[in-house]
Amino acid sequence: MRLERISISAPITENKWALPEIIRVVNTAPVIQVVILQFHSLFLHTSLARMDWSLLDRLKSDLTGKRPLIKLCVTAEGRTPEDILGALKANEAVMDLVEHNMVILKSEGTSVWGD
Amino acid sequence: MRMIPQMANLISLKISHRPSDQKEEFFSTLRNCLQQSSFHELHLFHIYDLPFSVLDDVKCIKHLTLSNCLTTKGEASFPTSQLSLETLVLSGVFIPDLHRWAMKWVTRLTTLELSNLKLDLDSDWLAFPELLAACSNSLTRLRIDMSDRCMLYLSIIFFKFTYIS
Repeated sequence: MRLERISISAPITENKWALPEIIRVVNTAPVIQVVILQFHSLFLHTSLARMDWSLLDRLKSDLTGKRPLIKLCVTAEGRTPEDILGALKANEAVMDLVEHNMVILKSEGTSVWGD
Repeated sequence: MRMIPQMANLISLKISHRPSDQKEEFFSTLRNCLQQSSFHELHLFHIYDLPFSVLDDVKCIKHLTLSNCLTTKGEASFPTSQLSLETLVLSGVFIPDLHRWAMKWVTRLTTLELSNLKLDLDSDWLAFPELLAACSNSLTRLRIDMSDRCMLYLSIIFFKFTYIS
């Protein structure tokens, strides 16, 4: 696959297993550069805590040793962008990925292609 | 047909719903518009009796959006020319035949967007991974919006896609 960019919008209420599926497809695309994940949550803190974010560490590197950049945008019913950012920052697993430059947190309103 | 104006250099056309009467005239006028060499973008919404053959005659289209479009039942069609679609956006009602038909057009596709597709697990949902596999050599951007659907579908699409490819 020549896929360079994949963008997925999905709810995160019951989808603990969504990440393995996404990772499996991303890992079949050797030149993929950007993965845009737009997750919608009903119960912000619970949903974020349920996700096994460390799975994102399983993304393969390309031939140059670079891993795809993940642009993560979370939206939640009735929550402000500040609420959501606060919840993400309180999640150790997410912040660990951010600190290792694997994930960039994007705000609501980000285009579907992460631009 | 007043709904689709006759313009010599039409580039893009967006139509939502067709008039309830004048069916033949509507599709005939649409077909004429699509054959213009300047024409690059077609967006159709809520067209419930779209004949495949209208799209088969399109020569220069680069971007096609089909949202909640149904095709004429039982119509089998084979494109007469090789199209070079670059962007295909499919949303709403899921029609396996339409997706299978689109496969013939996607060998040069660079962007594929699938959004809010109303899938029935009992129907022929295998058309999706087949469509993905058909354009996997040219596709650089893939968007899947499953915002209001069960994540099970996403899993099935990906699982079958990786199996086919």
